[in-house]
This record gives sequence, C-alpha cells and structure tokens, in this order.
Amino acid sequence: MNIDDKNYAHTLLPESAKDFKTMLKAAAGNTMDVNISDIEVSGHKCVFVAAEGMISTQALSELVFHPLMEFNLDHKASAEEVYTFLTQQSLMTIDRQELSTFGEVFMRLFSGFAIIFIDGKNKAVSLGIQGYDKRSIENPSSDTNIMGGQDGFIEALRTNVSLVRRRIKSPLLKFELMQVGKVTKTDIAISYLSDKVDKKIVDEIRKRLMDIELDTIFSTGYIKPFLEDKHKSIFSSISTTDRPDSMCIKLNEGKVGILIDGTPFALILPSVFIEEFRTVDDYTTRSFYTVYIRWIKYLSFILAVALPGLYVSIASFHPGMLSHRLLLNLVASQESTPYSLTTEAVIITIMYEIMREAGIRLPKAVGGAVSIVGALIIGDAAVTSSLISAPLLIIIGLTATASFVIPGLNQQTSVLRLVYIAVGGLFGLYGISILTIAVIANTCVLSSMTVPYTAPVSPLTVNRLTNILGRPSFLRLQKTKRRVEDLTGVKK
Amino acid sequence: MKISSWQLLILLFLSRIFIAITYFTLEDISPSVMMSTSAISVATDMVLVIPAIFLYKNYPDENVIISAFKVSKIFGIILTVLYFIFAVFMIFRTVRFFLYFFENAFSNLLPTLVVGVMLIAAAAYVAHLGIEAAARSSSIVFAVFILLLIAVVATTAEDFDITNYYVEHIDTNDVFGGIVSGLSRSSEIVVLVLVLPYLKTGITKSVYGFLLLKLLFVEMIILLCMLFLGGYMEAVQFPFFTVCSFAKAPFVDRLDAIFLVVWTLIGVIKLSLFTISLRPASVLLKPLQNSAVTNLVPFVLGGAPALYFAYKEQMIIPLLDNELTAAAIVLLGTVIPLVVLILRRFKREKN
Repeated sequence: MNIDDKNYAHTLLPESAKDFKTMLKAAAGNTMDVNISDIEVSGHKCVFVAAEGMISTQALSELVFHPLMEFNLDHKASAEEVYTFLTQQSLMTIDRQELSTFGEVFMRLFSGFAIIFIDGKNKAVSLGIQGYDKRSIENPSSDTNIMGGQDGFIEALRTNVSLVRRRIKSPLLKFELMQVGKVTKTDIAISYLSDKVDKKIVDEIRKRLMDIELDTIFSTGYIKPFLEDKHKSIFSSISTTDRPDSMCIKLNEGKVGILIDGTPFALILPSVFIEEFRTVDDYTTRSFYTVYIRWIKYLSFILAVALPGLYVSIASFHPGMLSHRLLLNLVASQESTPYSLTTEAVIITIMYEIMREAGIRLPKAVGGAVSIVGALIIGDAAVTSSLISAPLLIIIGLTATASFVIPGLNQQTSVLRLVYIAVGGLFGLYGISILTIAVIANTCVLSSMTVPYTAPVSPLTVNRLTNILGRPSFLRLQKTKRRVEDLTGVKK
Repeated sequence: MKISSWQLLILLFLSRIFIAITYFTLEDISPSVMMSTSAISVATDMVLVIPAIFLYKNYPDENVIISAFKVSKIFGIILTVLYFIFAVFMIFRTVRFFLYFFENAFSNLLPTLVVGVMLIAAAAYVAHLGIEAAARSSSIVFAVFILLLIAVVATTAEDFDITNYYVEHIDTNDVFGGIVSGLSRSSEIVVLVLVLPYLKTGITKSVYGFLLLKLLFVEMIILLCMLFLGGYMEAVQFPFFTVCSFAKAPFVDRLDAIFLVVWTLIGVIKLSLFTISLRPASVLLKPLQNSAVTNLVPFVLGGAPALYFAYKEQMIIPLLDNELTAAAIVLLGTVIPLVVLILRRFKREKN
C-alpha cells in the first residue's frame, strides 16, 4: 500500500512486521529521530519504535525490555500470545493503548510513548514511558505570592495535570485530553469539577477547541480568540495563571481550566474583571488586611490608567480645581521646561515603556541595569537639565509602580495610560469623560460563556459584592456555594 | 440580548436625571412650588405609563412598532417613521442642550464643533455596542453619579441654610405648568414603549421604580440647591452646577469639573439610548439593523442641525419646556400604545 506523510492518519496497520517498518519509514520520511528496532519476544518477531530523546531509557530497560526478556514460553509464542501478554498480563506500564492506525502510532510516538508492533497482528501497543527533558517545577514567574504554594506550572502538560490533581483528590475533577493544531497536534487538557461546572460551558469549550483549524498551537494566545464570545473589547474575559492552587480555586467556583502542552500557563474561563485584583495571598492573610490591600489595588488600577492623563488635563484646562499653592508649584516647575505638559508626559511615558520592555526581554542581570540607567541616569538627568518637570516625573513614577500591582492588566493599562494622556492633553476633562465612557462600554460589552466580564458589579449580584468590597470569612465561605453561573445576572 | 428590570430602571433614570442636574426653569415659580409640581408630574407619569405596562404584559417580545406591524404593515411603517422622527428630534434636543450648557458653563474650553462631534461619536459607539453594554455601563455611571452627589452634599452641608426653605401656595396655573414642564422632559416614556423587547422581566418594578427614583432625586437636587443657594437660585440658569462650583473638597478646590465628567457620562448614555431604542423597531432594515452606518444615521440627522444651531447660537430654551414636546410625548408614549393595544385585541377577537 502506498503511504506518505499526507495519508498516514487513517491508514490501518499491516499484518507483517516488514510492511510495518516500510510503511512507517515512508510515512515518517526517514526522519532521524524515529528509532526502529527488530526484537524477538519468546521467539516471535516484533518491531520496537521510539522517538529520539522522548522516552526514559531507565524505564525502557526496567519496565519494558526486562519483562519482555523474561517472557519465555516453552514454545515459540504466537502473535496472539505476545499481544495478550503486552496488553493484559504484564505490568509494564499503566498507560498503554492498543493502536490500529498509523495516525494513532505517530500521535503516541511523538508524545513520548514506546510502540511495540507484533508481526502477524495488525495492531500495535503503546507504552507510556515518557522521559523527555523538562524544566523542574519552580516558583511561578508571573503570579508570585508570599504565603501560598510556591510551585508553578511547567511546559509539560502531564506534570501540570499532576500538580492540579495533587490538590484536588476527588473523582469529580475531570481532565479531557484532545489534540488541537493541524500540524502540531498539541495536547490540550480541559479540566473542571463535574459537580460545579455548567455542562453547557464545557460542551461549548470542547466544540470551539475542536473547530480550531490553526496549523500550530504554541501558547495560550493561539486559542484565546477562539474561546472569547466577542472580540470588540480591549480586555479579555479569559484569564491566565501559572499557579496550580489558583487554578484549583477557580475550578471550585465552577470555572473551566485549559492546560496546553508546551506552555506553563493555564487558561481559566469564564473570567471576570474583578478577579484580576485577587491573589492566593488574599486567602492566607487576615481579612482586614486583605480588604486593605484590595482597595489599594483598585486605587492602583485607577492611578495606573488615568493619573497622568488627569494631571495633564487638570493642569492644562482646569487649573481652578487645584489649590493656589499647588498651582504655583506646578507653574514654577513647568516654567523651566521647553515642552508643553502633554508633550512631556507622552515623551516620558514612552521612555518608560521602552525601558520596561528592555527590562523584560533582557536577561535578568542586565534587566536590573536597565532599570538603574532609566531611573537614576535618564530620570535624574532629565529633571536636572530641565527637560522634564519634577512633578511629572513623580506622577509617571507613581503610575509605573501602580501598574505593577495588577500584572494581569498590564497590557491594557500601558496603552490606556498613553491614550488618556493624549486625550486629556488635547481635550481636557471633557475628553477624559468621553474616553472613560467609551472604555466603560468597551469593558461592559465583554462576556464569556454568558458571564458578563463586569459581573458582579454590573449586572449587580448583591451577595457577591462582599468579595469585591472585602473578603468573606472562611466561616461564611464554607456555608455558601459560589458558582460562576450566579454571575450571569439571571435569577434561577 | 436582554436586560434586567434594574438595568432598565437605571437607564431610564440616568436619561431623565441628565436634564434635572443641568437645568430647571424657575420662571415665576419658587423652588418649593417646583418640588410640588415635580411630584404631581411624576403622579401623571404613573398614569401615562400604564399602556406601556399592558403592552409588555400582553406581548413581552414586542414593542409598539412591532405590535403595530402585526396590526397592519402600513400602520407599522407610519409608526416607524413617527418614532424615528421623535428619536432624531430628541437627539437634536439633547445635543443642542448639551452644547448650550457646555458653552455657558465651560466657555472657551473647547470649540463647539469638537465638543459636539466627540459627544456624538461616543454615543454612536455605545449604541453600536448594544443595549447590554449600555445597560451595564449605566450601572457604573449611576454609582459614579451617587458618589458625586454624596461629595456635593458632604462638602456643602455646612453652608446649608434652613431658612432658605419656604412653602408657597400653588395655583392651577402652576400645576398645569409643572405638568407640561415635567412631561416635556420625560422622553423616557416614549423610550420605554420602544425598549420593551429588551426587558427580561419585571416591567412594573422597572417603570415605577424609575419614577419613584426620579421623584426622589429631582426633589433632592431642588432641595439641595434651595438650601445652599437660597434666593440666588432664581438668578442662575444651572443651579446644580453652581452648587458644584462652590463645593470645595480637601483635594479639589472646585467640584464643577468633576460635575462635567459625570454629566458627560450621563449625556452619552442618554443619547445612545435613543438609537438603541429604535433598533428592535427597525424591522424594515433587518440586514442593516446593527451596522455602524445605521447607528450613525439618527446621530447625523439629529446632531448636525444641533451643531449648526449651536454655531448660530439659536434654538435653546424653547426646545425644553413646551406644550408641543409634551403633547408628542403623550401621543407616542401613551396614546399610540393604547391604540395599538386596542387594535391588537380587536384583531384577535375578529380572528
């Protein structure tokens, strides 16, 4: 039978080992990373296939070759006897599967499984002895905390699954595996708690993932647009986390987590705006402190987005709002600078963004140096040489610091800040108002799986407001069932 | 796309409060009389909204135009044109009124054309996003408005003079004038009969909640201005704005600019509501129902003349408190829905 790299997926396995090898080589195009070996099991001819560097040699030796060598019948084994031994009688590995097409063979082969084909039986068996190199579990890079767990997701999907499973030891926690990406066949696991989740949401997510026709899936960003309801908003109703404990909290609220092989971030949906202000530490500190920190975060968001814009617009268009003393100080500081306040604010904001981007992309050691150059040398020199006024530098510095408080909204705050400066500088508070209502509406239009992004504030869900204004105590949490469906604004 | 009764209540309330916080006439009547006539006006509104309530209870997925189409196609087309003209007129009136206030309260801040175009663009954008976005935004704007009100009361409370409050005798002319004035500002009665298909449940809660909230806040604003400004209130055109100008908070010397922010937010919501309310009625334009161009048409038709008259400094006060506008609101908000209801019942019995 003619087989190549186009039609292999549904081609059935042949009976003879010779044909199997020929067809396998033809489909794989003699790639160097597929190792094919002939072996004999109790005198019966078999073919062993594994991908280079994907299996554990120790596991291969102890769990596969050793039992196979010990399988010695007093006669030459038949194909059926070898097959029965591999699939039912041996304890080589728990994760084994019967394969009947080349599509299945390649899928398992490149996922790190060892494949054993038995001559005379048009089936193969895959054995889970993955042993590819992977990063060890480390602290989460983007969502650090003080008192919570210190382990974060890594690039290996199965390790991430185990990190979640270790925290929820219940059969109600489900993981559904599927492959997405026409070329990459990336493993994606949908996870949820079956008693908490709305089944319609899971069905919808499954359907949307299966409908994706992209060739490649390498990160969360590839599949996010396919899972969002509307694309008109600058915000995203799907959050990401690299913390297993954070994902478990969300799953317990009836949300769905999506783990993608090759990326240390999980997608959580549906997600709401206000969740960007919550961290795992909120549940490890005392209630009063959590409330205090939450309000600091809300304030930080407003400062990060609007403070420079407000400053520019008030100083340029509405100086009457400021007290005389403050106004005089501002005028004095502005008199020595050559540019208008708006131009200054735009320049320094762009400079800050350049330095931030450089700090992120460069190695950590050099990144620190960039910060020093930015803060000490350029900032100080700009003020000393009267290119930038000192109050504006303070405002931008405060704004930049405030934006670090809510890392999940960094993309939005960065762009909105600049837009607010431009609009505030050109049109004053009137422009700020127009922009604000546009941003509010743009945020409000967003929903994911029928859950509005602005819930529970709008639409209002009164009994969920406690988790916004403050943090409900654990005594109260244990009495209430919090599910994401309650946020749809529909009374049930 | 449906909204809750609370969201509809807030949408209608913001639409109405826009005028209340901007301007109220005090020609020949005292603030205390105005408080009384406002209450009478709300009582009148409570009667006038009854056909809308019955329309919703009988045909929850239809508004007055869709219902009219089920009576006869010609009737439906006539009503579509009528309500469209009304919406365009209200957009014109709101934009003109907005620009008038802006020119007077924030003179020389920005060119009128820029102010008008920005307002229309924002309202068209919100309208394009749809009723859900507008309704959810309105809840947030409502919260901001309440914060402003609290800030104004808190910062001016020490200057309240209780002797500024006095009661005067009301005569029939005052009552009639108050009702006409109240009605001509109550375009929400017409908006209501158009937005009915968007409502999930709870029409009575929405409508009477809105009217009671309106009464509460209008009375509160008049009282606040009265206690703070006293006799000076009759000399200023924008009493609430004047109070805000005098209010002095710890971090801000004057609250009038804050008022500008809240007032603009409310103005955009009010304007977008007119276009959104037309959408379920645009049966004839179904393929273009929510295209950006279709949404822009009422804004261009209403906004362009408003900008023109603003430039010419014409057509201001007569638009607000006149009998013709009040009559149009009664006709479109009460009489026509009642006629549609009767015709639908008549047709059903005939079938």
